[in-house]
Amino acid sequence: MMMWKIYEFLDNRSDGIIETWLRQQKIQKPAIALFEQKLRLLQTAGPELPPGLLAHLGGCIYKLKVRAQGVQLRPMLCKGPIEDDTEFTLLIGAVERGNRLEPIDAQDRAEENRRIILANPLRRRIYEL
Amino acid sequence: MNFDKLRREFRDPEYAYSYADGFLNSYIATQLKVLREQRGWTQEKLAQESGMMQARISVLENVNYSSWSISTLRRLARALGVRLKVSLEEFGTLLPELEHFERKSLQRLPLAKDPVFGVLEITSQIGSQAESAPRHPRGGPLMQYHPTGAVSQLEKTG
Repeated sequence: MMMWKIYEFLDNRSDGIIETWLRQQKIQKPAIALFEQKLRLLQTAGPELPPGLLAHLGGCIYKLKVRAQGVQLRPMLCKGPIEDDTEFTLLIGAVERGNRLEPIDAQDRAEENRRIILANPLRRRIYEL
Repeated sequence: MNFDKLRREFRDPEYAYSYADGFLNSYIATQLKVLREQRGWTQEKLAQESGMMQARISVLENVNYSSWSISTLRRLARALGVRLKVSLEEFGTLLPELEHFERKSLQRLPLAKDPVFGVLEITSQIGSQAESAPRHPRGGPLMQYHPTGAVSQLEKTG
């Protein structure tokens, strides 16, 4: 059974961007559990099988859709960007409130972080599940 | 598959119950889609067979849907020709389910093709195969299971 590898972008201080986002946003444990359950689903089943797991935003950027209690988590990710057929990389954390993304420029920042990884593949690490 | 982190996190019941609920929702939504596709059906066709609207099927086929009812699941099971199983489980059984979550493990044969039961007399319609079949005196079409997996209509026996 093929498994996808899940990575996360590392910021300037080499901290995991998702780990920092979850902490700064004070995302509660039940919501983190749902987020990690959806990531595990992506890891084992890939992007095509589970319906409604990912939404394509354009270009290379997707958002992972996680409906948690009182909060819509929308972390952004891309395939690869080093090995497009076997990897996903989480690029930035985001939430959705009333069809508005926070941060509002999350997609642009995700694309920028993807370019940084392409230039330096060490700017990411495996996201432990 | 490495479950070290999951084993640590599951010491917190809040995390464990939320994770398990999320997996249950993801499992049902994905299996619904897999069974529909296994039968070559569109959402519209499943809606017809289950007496629901297509828009409703679209809502149910989503890993984030969480308001399942037993009665809705019974209707869907009946439409798809499978039985509904509800079971209370230990948390440890979750790990192999996570590990083997793939299309093949979610597929199920409809009653009319279930090799355990061989020749079947179907007394209610199962999909489009039933629509033009000869009718049994009690009202339903007669179907036969073949080892190839095909289902054919039997001669009317009067």
